[in-house]
Amino acid sequence: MNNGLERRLAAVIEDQIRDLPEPPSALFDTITRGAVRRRRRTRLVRAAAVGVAALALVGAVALVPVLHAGPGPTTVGTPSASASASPSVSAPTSSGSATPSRTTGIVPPASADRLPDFGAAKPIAQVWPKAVVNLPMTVNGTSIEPKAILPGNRYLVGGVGTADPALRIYDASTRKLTTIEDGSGVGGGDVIGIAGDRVVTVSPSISFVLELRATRLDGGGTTVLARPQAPIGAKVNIAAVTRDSVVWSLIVNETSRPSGGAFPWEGRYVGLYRVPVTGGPVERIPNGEGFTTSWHIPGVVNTIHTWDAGPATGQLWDLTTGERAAYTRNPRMATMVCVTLDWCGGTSVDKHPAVQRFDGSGFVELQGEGAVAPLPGGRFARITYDTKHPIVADARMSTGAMFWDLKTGRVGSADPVGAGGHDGITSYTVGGSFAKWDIENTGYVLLDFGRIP
Amino acid sequence: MEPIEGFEDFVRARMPSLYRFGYALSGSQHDAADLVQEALIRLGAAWPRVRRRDNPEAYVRTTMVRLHISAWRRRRRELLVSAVPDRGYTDAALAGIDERDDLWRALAKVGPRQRAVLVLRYYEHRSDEEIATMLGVSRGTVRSQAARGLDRLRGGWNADEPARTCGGES
Repeated sequence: MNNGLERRLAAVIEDQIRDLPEPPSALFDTITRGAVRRRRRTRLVRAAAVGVAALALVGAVALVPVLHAGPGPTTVGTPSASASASPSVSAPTSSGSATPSRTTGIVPPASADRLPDFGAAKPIAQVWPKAVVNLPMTVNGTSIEPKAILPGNRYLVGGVGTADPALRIYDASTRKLTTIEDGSGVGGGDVIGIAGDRVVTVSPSISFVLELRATRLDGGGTTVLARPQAPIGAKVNIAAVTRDSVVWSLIVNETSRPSGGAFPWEGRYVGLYRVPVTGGPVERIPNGEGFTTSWHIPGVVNTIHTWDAGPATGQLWDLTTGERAAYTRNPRMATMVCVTLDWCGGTSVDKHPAVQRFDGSGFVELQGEGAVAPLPGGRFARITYDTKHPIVADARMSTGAMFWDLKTGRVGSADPVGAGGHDGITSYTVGGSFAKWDIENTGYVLLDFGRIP
Repeated sequence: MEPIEGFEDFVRARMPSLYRFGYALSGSQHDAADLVQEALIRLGAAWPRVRRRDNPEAYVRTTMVRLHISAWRRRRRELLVSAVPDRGYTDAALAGIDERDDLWRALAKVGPRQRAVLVLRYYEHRSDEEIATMLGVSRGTVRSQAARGLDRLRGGWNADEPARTCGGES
């Protein structure tokens, strides 16, 4: 410590700490009980690791603030705490296989009396047994973590932890692991999507240069696609993968304001940029001003509904098909996401999970407090239920509750085998094809949405 | 529920200190409680192994640092404004307290990674090597982040200009 600023900084921190009140009285009990509960579980979801798959932590949880998961609500018609669990990370499939914002004909019921009986949801292993896949956590001594489902019973897997940044292909038929990028040259990265024969990654959270990369799935090498830069006062919004490009946007005048314990960020979107996944020059997308990348579709949106005071209308622009469409937010809908031209899900102004049609009609609230998060493609949704935070006033906890197949009306409890709830975070990204649970001493359980007929 | 042997004693003894550390990291009592809670629950779940092989205090502090950084990132991504670059924010509920000192307020505008480096250096008095291990980065990165964080403080001590960002903290 050799200058005035450093000494002053140390003193200021000490001063502030000295004035800090004692920890909340309930914190001790919450911690000790929470630790016992978590330890006693025979199945344990490892909480989403720092920097690992963080890029996938965007979609479903867009609608619910999370640092904790907790017991479900007691409202009749919602799942009990023991019947709910939160899988952690899902990963992209080929963006070409994801149904973007086209009309699918799949819509939620337009009246509450036609909703499924969510309270009677059975574990996913019973509801969709053929879609549940078990994978090992270790292959020949190498720890793996599924990142994407590939054709031919193969899986894109990453290493576990910062010590192993490699990307590999796991062939579940032969149980063979093949390295396609050892990470020694480019460092670790988070998978954000697959485009054709390449997986797109971005530099991990504990890195200080934003770098987009594409790695050939056949092991043919990694290409640095771009190092997006922002001018003074602007920020780079994280990229989305379309069929053959990686897209990012610039945002200026970014602002935030508290909203239910979270801090939504908005700003003015001033440009869209694209680079081919095969490499090449970065180009500005014409007429991209006013749009920003979305994790829910292979395209962009012009607004983000993270609080109920937001705009009443918005636009989706599917960069894969070029289709652009305007939607209307029902006045009773607060947070909201649309992934197809058919319907949108979110949280009502009364904090209930809620759905609506693309044009704002058909607004329906579910019981309990929480959110409906449409999964990419619009056929499936994840419903989360919130509970009040036991310590922090006005903050909320959330717990993954169930998956809803809007095509068949079937509902599966977000608990792979019905053995109890877990803390954790459910998420997905563009083209999201599976939910994942980490089962201690057993392996991974995947719910592969692509296997649900 | 049966208590975890030795864990409750550890929590009782160390929680206040960890809470203060969480506050230094986050600048928010709410976030400090969140960090302590999640990090200690994780420690409790791994208690026998950690107690046998590692230093529980170091384990939980490292967990808090990484949670802090990832929670920030996660929160932003959850809200779909998924910017990789990040920056600090001010807990409005604590604004009155924060304003007692301009430097503390300026610290609130430093991004979580740089703030973590500064807190570990000047509050925890950690070496750059220890910080590098905790953050999973090189010592050079720690030094550069500390320098940038201090630059940010110099510039933001009495200024309110948004920081320049281009794929990372500046």
